[in-house]
Amino acid sequence: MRNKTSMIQRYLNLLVKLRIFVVAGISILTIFLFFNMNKPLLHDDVKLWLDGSQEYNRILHERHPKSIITQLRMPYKGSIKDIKMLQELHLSMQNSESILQVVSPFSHLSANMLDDGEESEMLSISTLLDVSSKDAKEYIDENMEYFKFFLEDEKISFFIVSKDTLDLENLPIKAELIHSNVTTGFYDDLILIGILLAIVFILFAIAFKTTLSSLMALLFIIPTTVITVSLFTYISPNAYAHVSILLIALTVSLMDFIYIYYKWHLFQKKHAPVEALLRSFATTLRPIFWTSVISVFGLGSLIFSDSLILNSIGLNIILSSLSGFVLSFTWLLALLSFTKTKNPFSVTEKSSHYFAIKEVHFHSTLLNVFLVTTALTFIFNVYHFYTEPVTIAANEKSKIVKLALKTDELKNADLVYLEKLHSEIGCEFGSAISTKSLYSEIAKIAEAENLPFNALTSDLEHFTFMLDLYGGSSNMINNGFTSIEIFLQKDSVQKSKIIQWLRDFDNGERLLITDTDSLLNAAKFDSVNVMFYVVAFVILLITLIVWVMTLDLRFAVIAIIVNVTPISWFFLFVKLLDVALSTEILVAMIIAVALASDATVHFIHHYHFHRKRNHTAQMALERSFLYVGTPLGLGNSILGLVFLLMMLVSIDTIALIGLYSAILVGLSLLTDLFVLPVLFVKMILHEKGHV
Amino acid sequence: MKYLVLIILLQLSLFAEARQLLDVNETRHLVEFAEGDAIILGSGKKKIYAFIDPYCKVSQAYIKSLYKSEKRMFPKYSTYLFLFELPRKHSADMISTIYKSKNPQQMIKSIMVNGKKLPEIPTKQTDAKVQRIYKLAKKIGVHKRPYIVINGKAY
Repeated sequence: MRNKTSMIQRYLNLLVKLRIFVVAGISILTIFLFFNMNKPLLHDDVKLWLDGSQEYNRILHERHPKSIITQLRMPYKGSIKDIKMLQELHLSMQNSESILQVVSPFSHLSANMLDDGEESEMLSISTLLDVSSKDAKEYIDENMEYFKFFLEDEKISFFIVSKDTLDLENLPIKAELIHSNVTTGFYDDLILIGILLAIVFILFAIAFKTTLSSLMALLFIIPTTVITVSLFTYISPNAYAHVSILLIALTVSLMDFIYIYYKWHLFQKKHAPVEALLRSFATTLRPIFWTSVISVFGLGSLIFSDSLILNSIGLNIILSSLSGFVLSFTWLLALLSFTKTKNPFSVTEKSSHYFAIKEVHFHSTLLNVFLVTTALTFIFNVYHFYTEPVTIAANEKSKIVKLALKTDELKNADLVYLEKLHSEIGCEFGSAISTKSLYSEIAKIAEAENLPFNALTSDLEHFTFMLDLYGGSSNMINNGFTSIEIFLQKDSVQKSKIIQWLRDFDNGERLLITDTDSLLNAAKFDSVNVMFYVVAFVILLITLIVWVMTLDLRFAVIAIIVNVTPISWFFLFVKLLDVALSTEILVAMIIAVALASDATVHFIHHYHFHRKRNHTAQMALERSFLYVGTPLGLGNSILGLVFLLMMLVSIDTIALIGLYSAILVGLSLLTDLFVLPVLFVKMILHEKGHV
Repeated sequence: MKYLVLIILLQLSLFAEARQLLDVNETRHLVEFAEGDAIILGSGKKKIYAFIDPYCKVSQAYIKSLYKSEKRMFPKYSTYLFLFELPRKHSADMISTIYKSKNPQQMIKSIMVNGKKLPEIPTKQTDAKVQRIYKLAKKIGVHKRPYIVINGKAY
């Protein structure tokens, strides 16, 4: 122990001696890296989710392009003038090279018999683009039930299928684009970062009643974040840095900072600044080391995921933990050695004492009730995870699922497959969806020609010839694939359920999902399992590390309970409120696990340390509250407020990460302050002798 | 009256599917054998045979659709056109005129797609080609225009 302390002292002495070089070197590095960061952060995570995902890999393998469906909503009063304008718009879009397909009421195929008196007749297939505006209006009015998918509240929708995001700004009709990608630039990111840092600055100044703490916090957070993001872009030059990387880096560095700074601040009450620094360093090195190990090996294991977004989150956690650890014991110590706090105070000294007494005498029954309820919540979540398909948040405005069936040369067997698909999906989802495919269009022709239609035996060549002749096949049969469209007729039907049903139906054999929104949904669904398994692995790792630190199984059990509790309650609410899983929830879960593991390790380290020094449970708890509970409470409160304020940012992804993270941070803090200490007391208080 | 309507509807539904006097293979064999008498549109692998009358409105609609989707249809299909008069249209002279012209495809396009009225060259004697097509049509059972044969099956 003495050897260890003297090593720490020697290291600190050397650091203080070289502090000018350390500060100058890291400052120059940070400035250099900052000015070389020219890539904006990614807020639209579509690309990150798709790369490496199973369904997207399948369309890449089959060389089938992915498509983007953009909904265009326009005013519609049903007049002939409106119809004429819309027909012209549809035609002009259809002729545009950047547009693959326009799905609108005017693309509806209808089959009729042409007749010119005796012995002169033939089937004709037409769309509402081939008829006069007056006839189109009459047809729409007569078949309103069929067109209700496109018509809603005096608005008409066109669905534009394209390979890339469309620029539809110069339309002749006033139109509302329902979903377009979020694009932000480097300066938008700077504004976001500026807002975050300003909030951190103000909250630290309030918490410590000195601007020194705010200044130090910013001086620590900025280089840690800049180095993390820069290292990330150097290691993965082709990958985009998602905005969540910034938020995770901020969280990790803030928690490293607050433990060291707070202890340094508090020790100055009784010790000289350099001595306070030594004590702060000596008491935080071990827990910060272990929390970094958990982050690097636990959450960092996400880098083994095939999904690019999970992979990049994993890499970022590793980098931010490593840079946070290195900068904590170089840059931060060097900076703190230049300063001292005048009249340091601890606002929580009395409350720590108060809470310690309250929690030592806490009634066991209440704790037991809480633990049993939490255990039931946990079992409920696990049961639903394994028995019910997870619902993934889909783009609510995306009402079409676009599929392609591999058909090297169209055969009757393909029609039989499509017939089965129509029949089974119809049984499963009823009128909530409608399906359009080669099968439904051929059946329509057969009906118009009054021909008996059998998918297995009907003459396919005749039907495809008719579709070819009238242009009906151009959007349906392409390069060895026939396309299928599923229209979500009712808002109540969940897109992710349809997509998972389709994947189960086909078993990954012939059916490809081709539109971006549906591909995204499938990719997220596949990632959910990975995320949950990683979180379970992290919890096991925390348990193992706590056991290594304390050599006491009871501390390990406490670690499991404390880490599982906030997530269990959070997912219970998610389930009860029927909130679909999303990237935002999963990132928030990662942030929460990182914070909860930090709190567990720091708390257990202190409590165990004080019990080993023969302090009573109350005394050990009081000290733990003072030295860990306070920075933990401050750090989580500041982060919680930062996350809450992020809800004011107009970018949806950030606002939602803010909301979910704030809830999870709040739950973690409550568990750490009101459950963890009570567990210590109840499980370890009545120990004979000492721990 | 009710029964009369039903009978008419029944007859209409029976005639909706093209009548075919020969079986599929025989029909296919006959139309393939007569390919030399046909005017060919397109150069695709798939062969379509159609009996049309240049003055029949529905036949015209069919040819118009072919030309409208020329880029898609002509490389994929070869359409063999047999000109066969619909009696009430009195097109025998025009059929002979088309067959005798240097560029029958262009004439068909002018008359049936662009609606041009071209001079007919009256013919007292029906030429051999028209006669062969007449015999073929009667044998197969061509009863309407256009009468389309795909893989030996008539539509």
